[in-house]
Amino acid sequence: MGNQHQIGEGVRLAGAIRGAGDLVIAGEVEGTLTLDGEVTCAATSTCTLEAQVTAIRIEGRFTGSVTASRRIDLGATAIVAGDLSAPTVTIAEGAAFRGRLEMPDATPTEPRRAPAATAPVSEPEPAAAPESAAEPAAAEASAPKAKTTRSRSTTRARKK
Amino acid sequence: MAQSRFGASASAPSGTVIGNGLVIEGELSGSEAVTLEGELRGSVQLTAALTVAAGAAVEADVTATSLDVAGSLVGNVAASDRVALQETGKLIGDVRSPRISIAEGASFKGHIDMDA
Repeated sequence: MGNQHQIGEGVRLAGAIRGAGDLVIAGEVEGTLTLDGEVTCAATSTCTLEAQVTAIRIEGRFTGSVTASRRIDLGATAIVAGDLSAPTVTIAEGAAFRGRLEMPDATPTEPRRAPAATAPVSEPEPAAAPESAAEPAAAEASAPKAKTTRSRSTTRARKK
Repeated sequence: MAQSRFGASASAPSGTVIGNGLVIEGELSGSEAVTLEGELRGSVQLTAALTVAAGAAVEADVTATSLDVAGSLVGNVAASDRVALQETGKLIGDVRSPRISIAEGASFKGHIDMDA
């Protein structure tokens, strides 16, 4: 492995590609790709592929399907239509994607904890109540402005 | 970590290299020089140079401006500029080009047409 393959910007390849090594596509490729290695579809590339690879980074135009055993990365300039499947998938802001996206490891085996954590939030509310109750009492102590203060506290209570 | 490796390889790719370990069945075409080190079956149509490197196995009809063969090529060849069969090269097929050279040690079987 470890071989570097490159399909340059001025080159078009149609057919079946298979083998090992890392492949950089800057031109146009159409067909099937089975590669034990990493693929980079550069921003200048146009790919119509059924691809089965170790990992792929797409920065150009891509139509078809990808199954990657490790990861799929869509760069900010990617325009992708098709089905993606990999344990790790990232989509950069700016990328355009339409299709199905599947992470095979994403099987909910245990309940999520996030909703349970929000439940105790209601508890502090009763503790706040005595404080607001004490406020009108203090306001009544200051005689002339008592009426206005009380009305303000009632509107506040209504809001709750 | 993988991303940085991707980033390095993605920087301004130039030229086309089908390295050892890659097998292509289909059509390769374009306007940029191509080096074949792996296997290709099908056809190659270039308005640029093609190199069939030592160790490469190509079964294809080839059209290119110039062709260097150091590996194995089976197919008919048309090159508008030149064809050079290197000492490690093996070419089976008909060749049509204004300039053709065959190095000592190379093997060839086919018809040659230099438009003479």
